[in-house]
Amino acid sequence: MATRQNLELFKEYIKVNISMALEYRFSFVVQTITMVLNDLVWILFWWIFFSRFEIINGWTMQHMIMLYALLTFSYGTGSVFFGNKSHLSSIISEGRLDFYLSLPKNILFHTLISRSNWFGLGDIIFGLTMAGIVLSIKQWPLFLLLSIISATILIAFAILAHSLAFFFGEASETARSLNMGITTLASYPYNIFGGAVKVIMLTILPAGFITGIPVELLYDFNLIGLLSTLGFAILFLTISVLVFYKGLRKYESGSMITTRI
Amino acid sequence: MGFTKYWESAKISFNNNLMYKADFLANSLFIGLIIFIFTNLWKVVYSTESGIIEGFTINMMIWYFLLTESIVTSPGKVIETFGEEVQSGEIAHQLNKPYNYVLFKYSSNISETILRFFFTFSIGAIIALTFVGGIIVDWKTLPFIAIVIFLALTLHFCIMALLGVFVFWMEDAKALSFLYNKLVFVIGGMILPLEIFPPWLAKISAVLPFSYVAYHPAKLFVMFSWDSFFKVALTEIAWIVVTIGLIAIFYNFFIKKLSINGG
Amino acid sequence: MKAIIIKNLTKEFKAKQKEAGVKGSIKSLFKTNYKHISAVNNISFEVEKGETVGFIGPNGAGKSTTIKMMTGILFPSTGEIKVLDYNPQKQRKKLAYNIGTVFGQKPQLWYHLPAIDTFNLFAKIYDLNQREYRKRLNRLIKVFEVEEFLKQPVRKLSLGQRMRCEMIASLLHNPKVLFLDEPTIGMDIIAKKRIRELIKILNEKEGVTVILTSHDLEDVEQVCKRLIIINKGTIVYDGSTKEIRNRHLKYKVVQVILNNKVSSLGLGLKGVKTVFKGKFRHVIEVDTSKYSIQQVVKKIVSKHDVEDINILDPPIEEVISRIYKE
Repeated sequence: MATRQNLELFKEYIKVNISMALEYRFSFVVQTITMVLNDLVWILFWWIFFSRFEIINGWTMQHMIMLYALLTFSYGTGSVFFGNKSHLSSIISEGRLDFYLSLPKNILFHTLISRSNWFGLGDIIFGLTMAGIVLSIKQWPLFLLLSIISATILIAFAILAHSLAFFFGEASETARSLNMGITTLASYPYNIFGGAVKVIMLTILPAGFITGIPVELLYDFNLIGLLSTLGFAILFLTISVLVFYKGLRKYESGSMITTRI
Repeated sequence: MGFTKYWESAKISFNNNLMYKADFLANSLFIGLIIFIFTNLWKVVYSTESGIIEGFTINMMIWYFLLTESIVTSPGKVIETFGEEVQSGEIAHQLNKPYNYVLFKYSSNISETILRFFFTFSIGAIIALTFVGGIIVDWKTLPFIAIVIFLALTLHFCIMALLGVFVFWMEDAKALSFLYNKLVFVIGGMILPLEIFPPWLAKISAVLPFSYVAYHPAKLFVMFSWDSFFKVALTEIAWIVVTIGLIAIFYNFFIKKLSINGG
Repeated sequence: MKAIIIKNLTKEFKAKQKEAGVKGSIKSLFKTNYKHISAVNNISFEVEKGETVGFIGPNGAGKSTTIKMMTGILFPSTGEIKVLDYNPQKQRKKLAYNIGTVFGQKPQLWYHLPAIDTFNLFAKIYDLNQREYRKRLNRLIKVFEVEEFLKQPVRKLSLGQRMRCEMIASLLHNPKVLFLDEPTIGMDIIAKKRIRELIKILNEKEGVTVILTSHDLEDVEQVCKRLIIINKGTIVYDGSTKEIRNRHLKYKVVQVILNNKVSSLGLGLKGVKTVFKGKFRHVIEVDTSKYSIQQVVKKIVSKHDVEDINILDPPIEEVISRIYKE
């Protein structure tokens, strides 16, 4: 069955990418530690902040730790298993999609999984550790579910941002900025923002569904919140996949040919 | 005569950097985003306080942050550039030329740094004005503030150059650059002025060079005093001298190692 | 079933035109000018199973475009393509299971890992049965003689070794058609010969249809029985390779650099045409059906004080323009 075969392919790519990471293990270790330090520095920042200000709009240090646990774990997972999400635009601009087009697999899936950014492991470890600190046992299943949802939205956003390359020939800088923008937005307490901004954060820049609402769900669960988050993730992913394939049709009709040669 | 070659390289770098429009655009959008985020954050905080926190009004807080951000992001990727030149072997090339390598790097960097600083600060200023409004600054003090900012930029570059020299040994420039960035970010007082810190942390941070890149110049800007000006300017100069000294020591040390190993 | 059927195939591109400079950039914001490029213009040909076909033409002639359309990477503008009875555009995946591609300039092997890792990966990409895969892999390893360096990282291999591994990767799934683009690029003559031999074995022993493009005419001559020449998007020659050799590749270009100025080489040989007369540098064309290169070089060296001599194949553009003139 196709899903099992895709899973086999997925596993094989993980193997190959691990070999790669081990080949350059010094660099891998350094990068992983760097990631963890980065996350720690932010926690330190918030610790300083909340030592002085204690509560802002109902959010405390605990909420921030939860946010970071969720964000780093989702982001790390996306980087490790769908590593090419950050490289899609250059793959498109440089004509490297040709490689995937000549092989009998689903293009988007294949492109995304063929590379793992293993230093995402740092984020994963950090996220799980932070989660271990603030979560009660009961909250773990929800946390894991929400992480999958967040990761999905992050990946879908990356696909959308990078697919701009199909339409503009070149989009690496723009895509990178957009992705940095959304993770930045998602790393601040959701309820400091006003109504209009919240709307944006629940639609085109869905940071609200990546950390905002999920964090609140972990402290104040309601089914509607969960269902709308899940529903949004599915919708967003669908849209991003459709946009990618629309762009792919353009690629295959050769309208990008001048940039490719 | 020795000076002109540095001036020339500064001019070339200036011209080259006018080309990086997309880069500037991305930077300015990003600055807009974070000012926006922090405005929201501080508005919420200030809504529960009296309007002044440790002497800072919300406007001062935002403009403080704008200045630290502008200083810290202006020089660009100094450490990485050093790192690339070491790894590509380009450095051997440069070392053969009849000028001091670090001084050369400084002169080619400073012009783009100043340009980027003005650009970032201007864009950020417009955004800050839109979101919170302005602050009161005595225009007579501006030249002195400018001096301190220039010294801060120089110190920032020197520290990065020192770390860049360490790339000879460590090979991974990104990690070093990253670490330094984080140090400035937290204990340099990039977002939160040291007054917000727990007292023990504030004391330590205030004497380290990182705060002279961010906190001290920015505080001077929003809360000028002659006393502070002299203290900050002199301390910055002192740290610059120390850093240059360290650069000289380690640079020669590594060059010797390099030539022993055959480069 | 024929391996490839191409009927009235056309591919046109719309290339954005932008004037140079700042003014041009601003203008292009308001109105985009498109230039229509006809990369492939109404070509037709058929390939039987088991044929070896060489595809040559100057850069920009439409070769790569045609190959991309055959492999499903690019869609045609108009016309019909069938590869192994599949429509590359509509049945990309099904076709992919049955064709193999080797690009000299776009390697598929993971650079920092041993080739065997890439092979295992491809086995998963093509959903190969593990037992059959192992059997086939072992056979290919023997035929291509790569056993001894299979476990070394690909970056440590020579070009020839790398290409042999690349070819194995493209053959693991038993493709019926193999597309090769510049497979011998950058190799020394011994490595080139080996690759050519291997391609021929594949064709003769396994019946793989071979489509080969190369700028090295010898590759094509040695491997392909049939030759298609494309120029400016149209086919200018479609026939046997031998014939081309007999008709057009029977001359060589000799460049001589002398130590003293001479107005002409003055060889007085019929069948030797002067192409360029400098003072120190002279270029002549030798009809090798009339004289051997050895004879001509001997004569040159006996008459002049020679600094350097280069013997070159006529550039393909020359060959094509001559064919075009006929």
